Amino acid sequence: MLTAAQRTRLALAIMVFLMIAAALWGRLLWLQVLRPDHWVDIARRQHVQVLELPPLRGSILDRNRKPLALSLRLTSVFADPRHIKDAGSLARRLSPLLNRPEAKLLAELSRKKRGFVWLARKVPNQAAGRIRSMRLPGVHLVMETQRFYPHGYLASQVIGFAGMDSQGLEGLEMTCDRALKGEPGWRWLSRDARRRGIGAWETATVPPRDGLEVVLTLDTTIQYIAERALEEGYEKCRAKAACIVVSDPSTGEILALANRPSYDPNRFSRVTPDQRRNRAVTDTFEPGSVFKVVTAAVALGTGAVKPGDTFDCENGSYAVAGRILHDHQPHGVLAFRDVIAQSSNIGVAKVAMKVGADPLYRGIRAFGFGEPTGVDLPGEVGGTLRPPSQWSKPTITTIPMGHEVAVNALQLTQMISVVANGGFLVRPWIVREIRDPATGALVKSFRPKRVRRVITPETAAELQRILARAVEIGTGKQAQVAGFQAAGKTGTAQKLEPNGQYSHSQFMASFVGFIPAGRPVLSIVVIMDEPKFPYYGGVVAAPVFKRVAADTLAYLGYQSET
Amino acid sequence: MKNFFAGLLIATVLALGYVQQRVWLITLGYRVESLSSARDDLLDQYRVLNYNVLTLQSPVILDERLAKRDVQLTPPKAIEILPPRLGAHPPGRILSALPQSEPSWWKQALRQGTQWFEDGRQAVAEPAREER
Repeated sequence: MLTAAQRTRLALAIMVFLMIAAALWGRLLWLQVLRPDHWVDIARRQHVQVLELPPLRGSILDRNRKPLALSLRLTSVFADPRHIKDAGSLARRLSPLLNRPEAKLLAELSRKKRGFVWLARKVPNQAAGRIRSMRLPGVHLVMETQRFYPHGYLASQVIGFAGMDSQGLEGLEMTCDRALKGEPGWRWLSRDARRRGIGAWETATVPPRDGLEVVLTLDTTIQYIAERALEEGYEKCRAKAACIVVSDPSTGEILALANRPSYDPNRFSRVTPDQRRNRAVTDTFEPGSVFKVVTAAVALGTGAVKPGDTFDCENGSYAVAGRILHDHQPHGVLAFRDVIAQSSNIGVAKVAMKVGADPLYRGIRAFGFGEPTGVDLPGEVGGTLRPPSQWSKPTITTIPMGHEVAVNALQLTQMISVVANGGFLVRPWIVREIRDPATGALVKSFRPKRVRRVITPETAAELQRILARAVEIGTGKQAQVAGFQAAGKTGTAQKLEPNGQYSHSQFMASFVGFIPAGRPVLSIVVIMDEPKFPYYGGVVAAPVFKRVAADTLAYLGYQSET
Repeated sequence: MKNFFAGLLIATVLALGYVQQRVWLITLGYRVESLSSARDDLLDQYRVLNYNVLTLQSPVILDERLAKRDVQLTPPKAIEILPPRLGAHPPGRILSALPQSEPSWWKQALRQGTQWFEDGRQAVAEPAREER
């Protein structure tokens, strides 16, 4: 039996326990029922984080699906200086792995006010593996993508490059950026006390959508053939710049497009804007004698001239419209076809005067000059072609031989393709299709576009014969290809000085042609900017055409015609 | 009283089962996370190796390497080119034609034994960076 004192003590003890229990239950109720969200939020912030899943930028492939540009994931290293105790020792350990001076690393790691500093971006995988295994507190690794160009300088101005953050900055990398870049995904990731991922299968995950693949009309092998021949020609004539375009005349597909000087997009930060320029698209120039092809086409097309008509070429000197025209070598009376084959300025001027200013202008416009071709490459300029109302008196004699008109190399490709394909103006194009790399499904495909008929098939056939003659016996002899009949036209244009006068030391040498002459499969345009002596198109540009044509036909499996 | 203890036992077993399930889930979470990371690493390595093969096949890089060693190449003459039916089979076709068999037990045991020594010495795929 309990005494009164004992009962009082027991009652007190029970009361104390009940009060403690009530306090605990009250707290429990407060935490679990009345304010649970607040504590759940705090716990989630500590253990769960949203992880962004970066997409892999899509590849750029050639027509045979060989990659010209692709992305790889590499590791970048960053630090949170607030969690680093001994910055000096850490800098000493990381310096050889990250290939960075110890002092610079120490300076980065000592910025205690900052919660994030990059130590090195896109480090070699071996170094990343070693840093990971060292488990350094305050040092973290993150995966980033880097763009690689396995063929180095090949088609570099066409493809362009993507920057450090996988943003397309030049060329097709820039114009196709929307398709290439993809969309990032995200997921919730639970982490334990050591910040290891536990997995988050219970929570929502949005997978990243990798960038789409862009398939081009370029052929890596033909591109290489063109680059190699252009490089050789460019070095040999010590030109300031050069470019070449190889295309399929019937479809307008660009099979190769190269420029000099060039650069390696894997090291884009070290190159000058001059090297990055896609001259075939962005640069206009007075084309010179290659433009006689247009004059001849318009003359034949309008019926103003027949192939057998003769013209007196005045033995190389002819005063007209207050100027004296000269030929590079004196000619007497020449048939129309030889006026073109021998590239007589006087003969072509007389042909143009017979055609008249308005029909000539309309004909030149029909060939697509004076407006951009609409190629899917950035930075194209349309060139200059003034209407007859703005022509001066001598213009009717200068435009037919490629002066007072500015064109780009693609417009010349379009022009020569009209002759080669039987008279159609076809739009040059380079992006063939866009595909989903995950499923291989076709997202978008592009087709050849015939803009309009410019000349009749008969006129085109006659021009083909005339241009074949220009290579056979005319100024383009060095473009002859063993086993095939080539057709083309040379050009050597004086460049304009800043004072408006034509230079006697700076020239644009060019060759436009197609092969085989009877059933053309390749149109090739070669431009050399300011070659050193001998600066003639027939000497510096025609041999490049010859080499590219011969090697490409062999690669495509065409058997010799003879 | 009997029912009370039986109920308590069942409740305890259920509670332990629930706890065990959570522990399993967390263990599996670690496993999934590590396998997923290993898969990503392997995919990355595959991409890097693929890129390296592309670089090795690139005519530009080949040219540069041959030029450095002063090796001149000329295209083969027509007579030197074998028609496709006489030409060598691509390596893939030869390999697939060979009989495929499992390695013998002692080879497998040897491989497993040597793997213990190789632990942590895996080759790391690096993207080739040509010095030009």
